[in-house]
Amino acid sequence: MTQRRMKVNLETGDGLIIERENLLTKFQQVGKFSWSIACWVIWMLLIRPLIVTMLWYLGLRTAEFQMIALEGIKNIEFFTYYSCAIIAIFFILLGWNRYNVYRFRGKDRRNPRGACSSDDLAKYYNIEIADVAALQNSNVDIYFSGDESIILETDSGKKIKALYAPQNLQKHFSNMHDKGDLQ
Amino acid sequence: MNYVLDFLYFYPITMAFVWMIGTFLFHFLRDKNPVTLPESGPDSPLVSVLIPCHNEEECIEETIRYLSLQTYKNFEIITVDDASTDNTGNILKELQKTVPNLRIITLKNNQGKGTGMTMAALHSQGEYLVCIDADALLDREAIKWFMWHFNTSPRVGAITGNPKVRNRTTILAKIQVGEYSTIIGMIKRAQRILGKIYTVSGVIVGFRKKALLEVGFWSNNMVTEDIDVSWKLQLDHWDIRYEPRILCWILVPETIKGLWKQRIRWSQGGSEVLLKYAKNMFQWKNRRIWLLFLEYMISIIWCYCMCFTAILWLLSMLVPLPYELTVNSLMPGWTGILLASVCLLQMFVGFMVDYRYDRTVMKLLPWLIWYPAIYWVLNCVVTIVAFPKAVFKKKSALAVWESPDRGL
Repeated sequence: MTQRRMKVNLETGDGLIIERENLLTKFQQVGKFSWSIACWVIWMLLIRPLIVTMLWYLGLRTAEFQMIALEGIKNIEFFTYYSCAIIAIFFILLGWNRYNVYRFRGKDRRNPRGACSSDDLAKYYNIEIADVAALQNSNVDIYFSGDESIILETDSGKKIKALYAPQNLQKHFSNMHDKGDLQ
Repeated sequence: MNYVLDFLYFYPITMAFVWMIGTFLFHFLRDKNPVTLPESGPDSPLVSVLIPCHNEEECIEETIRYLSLQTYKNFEIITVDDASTDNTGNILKELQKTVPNLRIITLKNNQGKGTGMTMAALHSQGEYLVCIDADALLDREAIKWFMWHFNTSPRVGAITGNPKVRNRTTILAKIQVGEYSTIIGMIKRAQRILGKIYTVSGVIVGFRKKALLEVGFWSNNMVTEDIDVSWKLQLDHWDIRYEPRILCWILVPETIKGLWKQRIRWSQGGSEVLLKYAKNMFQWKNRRIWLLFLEYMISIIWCYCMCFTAILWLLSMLVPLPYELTVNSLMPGWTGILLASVCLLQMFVGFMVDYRYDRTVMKLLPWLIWYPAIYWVLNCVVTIVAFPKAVFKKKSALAVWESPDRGL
């Protein structure tokens, strides 16, 4: 029989975070550390030009190859242009946000559409309003017939046939329209 | 080829800055605003908590019992048992004896989460629906935060919350902790600043039932019904908001196979939505969502360019290629400093804004330094596999349940 999930203590919150190192195999534990070390090594490789530059300032000649032979010094220009682009993105996003606040805050230009009523649901699913009330107060079993209808069976044994056509929503909306609901 | 390499290199870095700037603006313009949460009393509007489940015997009881901690008291719980073959149904019936506001909807055939949620919505008494996964533990203030947003505007159609990862045993899980904090949270904050959100997090989301009715509820043929319903609502001009203070604790896959299946589904779902709503992008009234659509499309192009470049690089090592097609190295030179710095900065920004919601996350920092770069590589591989699946998928095929990996 499958074990139930370890339970969280509702009073103290113990068990909310699940960290069970004892479940890892030796291979997984070794793999976990090896992966992190490998990632840090790769990160160090990327930052290598910066380290080399620092060593150059300390007088080591190897850095000369990076800065002069590979023309690394010219990339300062690149960083300048890219920094300008990032600053521009910042002001664009801030400006857009402020523009939206100015234009829309406190003003609702779209009409509110009201709450969803039992009548709305009855029209959408092509059932009676009394059926909606029955469904909303009972456990229900639902049978799918493969065509665009479903059978809903309540606790009391009442069976209700409803329209269910999620891939042909026009049927639901035209049903609402026929019954005078859609504006 | 140089232009392609520049695009490959600078697009993720630029997007990282867009997310960081958006996060920074969201944090200072919205996150820090004090608000007064609504009181919960007998006159408070009824909220329906919907929990779709399929073979969730391990988690469902804990999820339902954890709801008793909610500070907003006027809610009902509707679980949808979608043709479970394990003990889920019996556990729910047993729970009903001690949890009086619980109701059970049973689907006799596996219909998928979209249909499950639609059926639950039909059977719900509340106008406000809070939808959580069967393994999600909802923070005690979550419903109050949902109601605060719904009360601020009648055109708020949905609000998505901030999932936090519970299980952190394996390195895969630790990496996902960082992902949810630094990538997903940052993207949603930035999109909120832009005004449109790509997707709600299906694991924790609140809906206005009227909004769902007007867009025809959830689709039953999309593998990610959350992305689809987000686009349906926004194309019908409903607002979708992100609230980082709506927390829920979730379980993530801890095996490579489980993670792979999940990411393929997410990517396929995103591509299906892109293809489904492409024709809507030619309408002027949908102009505010163009940027979102464009960004997703560029991401897909980026992935295929990355694949193409990697193939050329491998070929360059084996056979001589024309100069224009030769790729000597995939490792950047001086601009590697930019990549390394952006990785650090993105992790730092993400953790700093999310730290207050999960204080345990900082100790995972050494495991996560590389996650932003891994995210793009993983995304790339997954998109390359998933996009053709979306293109060639039969439109009428039902998106049914497959039991997910819930960790160790």
